[in-house]
Amino acid sequence: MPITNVTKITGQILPNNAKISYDAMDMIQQGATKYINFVTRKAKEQCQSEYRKIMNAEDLLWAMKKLGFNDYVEPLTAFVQRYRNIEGSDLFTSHKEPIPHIENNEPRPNPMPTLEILHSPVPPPVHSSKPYFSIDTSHRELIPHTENNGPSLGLEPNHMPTFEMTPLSPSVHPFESYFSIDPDTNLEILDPNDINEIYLDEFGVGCSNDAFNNVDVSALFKHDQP
Amino acid sequence: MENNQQQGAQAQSGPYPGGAGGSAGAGAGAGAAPFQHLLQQQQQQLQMFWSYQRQEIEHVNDFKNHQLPLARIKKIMKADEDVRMISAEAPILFAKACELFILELTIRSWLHADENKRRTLQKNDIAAAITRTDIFDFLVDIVPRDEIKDDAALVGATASGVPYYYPPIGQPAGMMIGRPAVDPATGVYVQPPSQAWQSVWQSAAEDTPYGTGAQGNLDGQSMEF
Repeated sequence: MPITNVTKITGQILPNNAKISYDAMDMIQQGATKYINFVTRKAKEQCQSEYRKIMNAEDLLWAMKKLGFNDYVEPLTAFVQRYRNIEGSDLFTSHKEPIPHIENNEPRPNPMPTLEILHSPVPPPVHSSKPYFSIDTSHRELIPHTENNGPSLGLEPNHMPTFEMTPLSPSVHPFESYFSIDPDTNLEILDPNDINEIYLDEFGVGCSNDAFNNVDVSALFKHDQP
Repeated sequence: MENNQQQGAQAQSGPYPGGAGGSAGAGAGAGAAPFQHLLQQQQQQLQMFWSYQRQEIEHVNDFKNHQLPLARIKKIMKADEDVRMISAEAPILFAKACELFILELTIRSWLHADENKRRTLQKNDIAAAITRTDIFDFLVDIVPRDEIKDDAALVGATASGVPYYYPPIGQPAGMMIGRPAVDPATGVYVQPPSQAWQSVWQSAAEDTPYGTGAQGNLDGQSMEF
């Protein structure tokens, strides 16, 4: 027990002209500590006999009575009852009281919530790069075939609008996406596409579906005969 | 019990004044009366103290500003490894209990200092209070051996105290002398002083074998007589 607290308490009871030596104060201080150990050890027996783990005020009062401190029991019982009446009401009206109770509970489980943010890959950039590559490839391979057919057929004015209309056609886009998946297949399928281009150039048809429907073998023979 | 359970109507605030010290008498008979008066005064002061404490507790409103720190009390309680969980009320009750303990020990020590006409509380005064009071037997460990001798020497200086304070020394001759002295006291004096002497005799009996066993009740002591 702190010596200052003991000095303050002894000052309450002694006359004004009385003094206390340091040795006497030290003995009183030791006595107070031994008093707590003495009563606590006795109160522990009461807890263990009733198989309780929490030592409460009644255990201390029981121990004091057993140890002969009968004069203490009556005033301390009134003290505890008054404490419960006053502090009990404060417990519901103010938030200061719960703090001491928290201090009594030494085990404080403090779980730390961890937030993991997973960054998923962005599909659009990967997807957009493939069509661009396929468009560029198709344009490069289509140009030589068109040049070969141009001088032989003599349809140069028709070649320009056909070349421009190909990207605008919605039916051509599925082929481009298919080419981007399989490069080898892209080369094989390119030949039939060139045939379609040839038919478009000759008859001036803008739609690939109409090209197949308007195929006329006799027209080819007419160009070959002159 | 040394303190009679009487509801004292007297209320006194502030420090208790010290009682008048016993005067040295010419003979044993002349010295007995002043000592009896001294014991009565001491018991009255203790009764006034407890009565004052009861009234003070009835009006206490502040339970948070304690004279003693609760954390320190809790640490001392947990010095016992078997004590693991303590309710919130226990340290608060102990703070008040320790206050009462310190006050009672201080009063009893002061009464001894006042007997010897001193105004400064000394180590031997604390030792005397511990040896005189049954409920303070657990404090015998902190009382040095030489302090008991000093206590005997100081008591020896008072003529009226010589025959009554030999038993605490624990000498066989002292015990032999003490018993005859107590018997006349029982027959001559009123009940309170006889209870005090029985208590002294009991403490003497305990000191002789150097054992600290369970305390015998006063009824048992009276039956032995």
